[in-house]
Amino acid sequence: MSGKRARIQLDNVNANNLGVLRTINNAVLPLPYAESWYEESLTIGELAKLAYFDEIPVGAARCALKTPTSRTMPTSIYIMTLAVLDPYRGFGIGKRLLKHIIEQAQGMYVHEISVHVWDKNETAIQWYEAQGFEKLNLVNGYYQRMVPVGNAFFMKLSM
Amino acid sequence: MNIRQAQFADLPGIQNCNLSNLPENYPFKYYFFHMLNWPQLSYVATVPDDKDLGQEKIVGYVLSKMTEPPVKQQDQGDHTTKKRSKGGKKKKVAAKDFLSEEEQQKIEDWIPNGHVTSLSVLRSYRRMGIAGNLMKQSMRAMIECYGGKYVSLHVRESNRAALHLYRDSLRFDVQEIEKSYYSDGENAYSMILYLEPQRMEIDCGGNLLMEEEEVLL
Amino acid sequence: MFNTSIPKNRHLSSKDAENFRELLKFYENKEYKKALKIANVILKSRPTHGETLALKGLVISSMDKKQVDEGYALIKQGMVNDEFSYVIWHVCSIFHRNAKNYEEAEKSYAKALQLDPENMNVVRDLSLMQMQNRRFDGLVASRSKLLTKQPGFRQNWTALAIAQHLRGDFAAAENTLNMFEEALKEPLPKEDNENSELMLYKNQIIYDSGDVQRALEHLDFIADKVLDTLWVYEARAKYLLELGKLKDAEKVYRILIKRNPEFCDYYYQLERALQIEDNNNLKAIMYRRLSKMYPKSDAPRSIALKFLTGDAFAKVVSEYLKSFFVRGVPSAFVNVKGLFKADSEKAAIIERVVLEYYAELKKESDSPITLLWVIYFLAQFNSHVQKFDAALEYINKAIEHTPTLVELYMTKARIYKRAGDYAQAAAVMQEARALDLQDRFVNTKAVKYLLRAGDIDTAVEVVSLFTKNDNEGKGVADLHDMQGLWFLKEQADAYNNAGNKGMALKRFHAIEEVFKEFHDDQFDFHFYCTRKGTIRAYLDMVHWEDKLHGLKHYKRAARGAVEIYLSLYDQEKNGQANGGVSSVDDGLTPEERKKLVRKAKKEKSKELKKEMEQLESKEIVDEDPFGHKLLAAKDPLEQALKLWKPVQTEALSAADAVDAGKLACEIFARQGKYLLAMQAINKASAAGLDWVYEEVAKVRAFSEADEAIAPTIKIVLTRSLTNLIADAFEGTVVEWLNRHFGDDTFDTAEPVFNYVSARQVCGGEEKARDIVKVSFKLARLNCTANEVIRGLRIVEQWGCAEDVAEYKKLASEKWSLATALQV
Repeated sequence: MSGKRARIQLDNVNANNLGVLRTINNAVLPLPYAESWYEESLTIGELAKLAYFDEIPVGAARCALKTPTSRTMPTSIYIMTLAVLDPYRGFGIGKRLLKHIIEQAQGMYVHEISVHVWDKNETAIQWYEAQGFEKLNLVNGYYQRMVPVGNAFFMKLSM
Repeated sequence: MNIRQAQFADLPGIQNCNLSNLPENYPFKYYFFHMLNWPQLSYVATVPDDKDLGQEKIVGYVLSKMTEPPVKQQDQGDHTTKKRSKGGKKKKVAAKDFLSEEEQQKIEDWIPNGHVTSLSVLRSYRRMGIAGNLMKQSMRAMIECYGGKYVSLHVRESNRAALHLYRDSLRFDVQEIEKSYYSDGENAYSMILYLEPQRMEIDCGGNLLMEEEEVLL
Repeated sequence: MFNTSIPKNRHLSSKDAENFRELLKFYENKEYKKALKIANVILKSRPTHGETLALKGLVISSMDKKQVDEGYALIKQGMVNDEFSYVIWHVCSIFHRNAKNYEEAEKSYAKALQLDPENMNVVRDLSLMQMQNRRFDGLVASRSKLLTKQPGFRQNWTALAIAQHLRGDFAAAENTLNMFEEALKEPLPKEDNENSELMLYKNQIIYDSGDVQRALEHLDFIADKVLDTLWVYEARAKYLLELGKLKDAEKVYRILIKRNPEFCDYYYQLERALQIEDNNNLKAIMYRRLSKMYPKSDAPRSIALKFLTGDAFAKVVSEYLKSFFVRGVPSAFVNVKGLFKADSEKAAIIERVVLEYYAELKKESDSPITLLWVIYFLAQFNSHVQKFDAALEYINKAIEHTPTLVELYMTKARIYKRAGDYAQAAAVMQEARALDLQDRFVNTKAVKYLLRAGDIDTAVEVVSLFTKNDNEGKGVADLHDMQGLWFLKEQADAYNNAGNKGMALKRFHAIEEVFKEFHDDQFDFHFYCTRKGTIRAYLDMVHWEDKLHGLKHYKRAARGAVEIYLSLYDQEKNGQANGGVSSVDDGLTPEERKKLVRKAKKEKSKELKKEMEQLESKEIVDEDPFGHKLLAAKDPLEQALKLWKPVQTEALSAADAVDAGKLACEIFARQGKYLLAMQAINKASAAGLDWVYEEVAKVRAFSEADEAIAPTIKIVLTRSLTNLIADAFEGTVVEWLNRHFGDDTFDTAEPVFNYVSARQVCGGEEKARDIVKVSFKLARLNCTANEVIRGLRIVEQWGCAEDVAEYKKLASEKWSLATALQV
């Protein structure tokens, strides 16, 4: 009789739900982001997205376009944060967010998606690899503010 | 939890629900206006009031109306017609003879149709299907009492929950986007549903899983 | 006396008469400036012309609200000059009507009609006043006249029928409607909504007259001719039930349930039709069946939970709650909490069932959502039974699980509020709000909690995010315009607690103003509805208006204001610095309150300065911006009575009326109207209300202290009291009071407050001692945080520092989170 609603739904980040993005990042990620970074998240349109599970916000992705100095158009989308609350992992929410990012890339004729992942975060590394990302190189001391200072793998998905 | 036709005594509760939940609000007289023109169209969801025993608390409502025809037909001997707008001010409309062809066409084309002025359910009572129920009962009354052929309403562009209710659950269509419809500048989806009486019967009681005789004790 | 010839002082030269006609035309077209100009022209040559003076008065009062008084003076002057001019009386009635003084307007219209009996406009307007003022005899007369003059308009028939109906002449009303139908040359089409409404209205008249059988027959006759299908079904079912035709009634109720399976009333009536209201077994079977037939409906399940017990209850409630948890419905708890009050066994069963489910889910669960909502439920449950530490543990667990869910923070805030930590409650509610800034519901809650915590400034900032704001970005004026009763009341309470009685009174009176608007709103519809034909709804409105001041929003505001007026009176009488105890508490410590009072004093002097500036700049928008004028009322008791009287006369039930008598008693006793006070007490004692002893003591105490009491009154009073309670005058009033408020009376908070209130009035040396002793009961009682804190305030006022420390120590054992009770 009625249109069944998909359990996972995405929505844009705006001034009214910015607090949700902040909460998810604070709960999941090891390091906090500055207020200015959140303010900027309001200006990047589809590159910032919230994910809802049964109408509860449980995941978020926030990206940036990378334009190398030699070019005028962006060549990759860089994932700054992609986080899903712990109890909600394994339901395809992260995948859904990634799918959205990929769609954005395709729409902009961008062929690369990249991300830095903490080298101690085995689960995350495996997850990205399962999505088709490759480890390119290890960046020592990437996470300066971590105690002790942390390293990160730079990972890339080519499309 | 209870869903029933709104009575006059419910109006203060409805106004309170509206003022607490939504940015679009109306003076009490406007609620009067709805109830005294189309008393069958508005519905409320109530729960027992735990602070005021014996009283009900309103946790959801739909406030509906029928739109007025462009110019009302002349009455027995009346020489002017009075159109009431939102603020209750009377506007005198010219008699039929002075209308343009376009306006005459509008009168001829006009078919009875309903409009949802406002709908809201308290956050603490969401996901119970209350809004859908309220809408279905209201729409059925539009058909039965006023011969309503279609119903329209506006939804904020960002209101995902409302969009899901109207577009997906109730099968409304998006007619157009009205730019800066709301006083804070947000756009509105103007939505419309053509009413089918038989469908409505099924939908309302349609909850009904099986006929009584089929149920074994 | 009616003159057919124009008296000399009214006569105008042909030029002036022409001007006068222009004046009338300008007024009717609302061209007030031109009207005023031409009025002055006439008055130049005829300065005492009554009719022109009156019209000029009407014009200037219509042009400018500030000139209303001057306008009225001119009208009166005109009346003095030309007493028998129908025009002047008509002008006068329009003036009163514009000012919404419908009583005065009615009198003026009646006088105008006397002078010009055939003026149908006046008759029509008079009928509107009569309807507004509920003068049904006059109304019937006026409307009969209108009908006789203009029988071609259907609305005149309708209007007369309504008048007759309201006067109780059911037969006449029905007859009027019949006569119109007979006069119709051919029946109106079914689509004619007005016609449908009027047929149904006639049916209602027949039912109201008491002839249910005929009402049913008539209903069957019109059923296929009318459009309001639902009403026909509901009325038929009702009539069948009343006539004892139970089988038929049952059929109709089943149809109604099919149309709307969510209306509990249909199910209850079905029980009556089946005669199983008292048979729990058969009811259980019926509701089980109906639940299967309507699997998505809440009603058959929740009704069953009310009467089921034991294992049957456990089974149904378990399924019921689990379906909510699995579907992620936030209202699982609120849907069952009503079951706790009557039956603690059900509370225990519910807790057991949910804890079992919780244990299962913790071991193995495929859905994080289900687990989340179960934890959420347990938090709410524990909060409800006042186990605040457990509640906080659960809600924090839930927040750790899903920190993005607004509902979790709202519940956490609620826990703190119920536990007595209002500041923390407000802070957490703000956290909730921050997650969804576009939701006005959370905004409203945050504002409420901020006001409860005494933070009025932040509350105004937050509420202004959704209002049309003034130059300073504040939305308080908009909330007045939008009739925001909830805000006005909460802010009034917040001001009251902070000691700012002026602003509190101002807000309470603002609520009174809103109700005046509600009352005035009906006026336009007296005419409108006769044309529209929606008479049944119209009559509902009329009945609602008749009981307007019995509604809780008005009652609460009136009570708040009356209590302030009483304390103003008491203060003046006793020369006290600080009157009684506030009725709602903010959980602040005495230091915090002192700070607030100091702040209030500073603000007051700032306000006074602003007020002076405003007055000087003649920019008077608000004549009493800080409520000082209200506080300075010369007759606070009269003000109180004016506010409170309609609560009694328009009470929604007899019990409400009696209950309203208590506050009335307080006012009367202070006014020295002891017999009126006695009347209220007698009424209450018949209903068995607890507050009788409190008021008896007060009346006795007030009368004994009253030197001006007439000896006859004293005798009557003594006799009345002893009639009611034999030992009313045995011993001093204090002894009597202590006798009747024995230790065992204090099982809830109310008798404690009643005693304290009475004891304050009764005086005597041991007053403070007695008050403190009884207040201590609150520290251990099963009551709300509010009530315990109120007890603390009483002890602070009447006891010594050791008492306060002792009270806090006792109370904080149970109320460990309440900030006010921290040692």
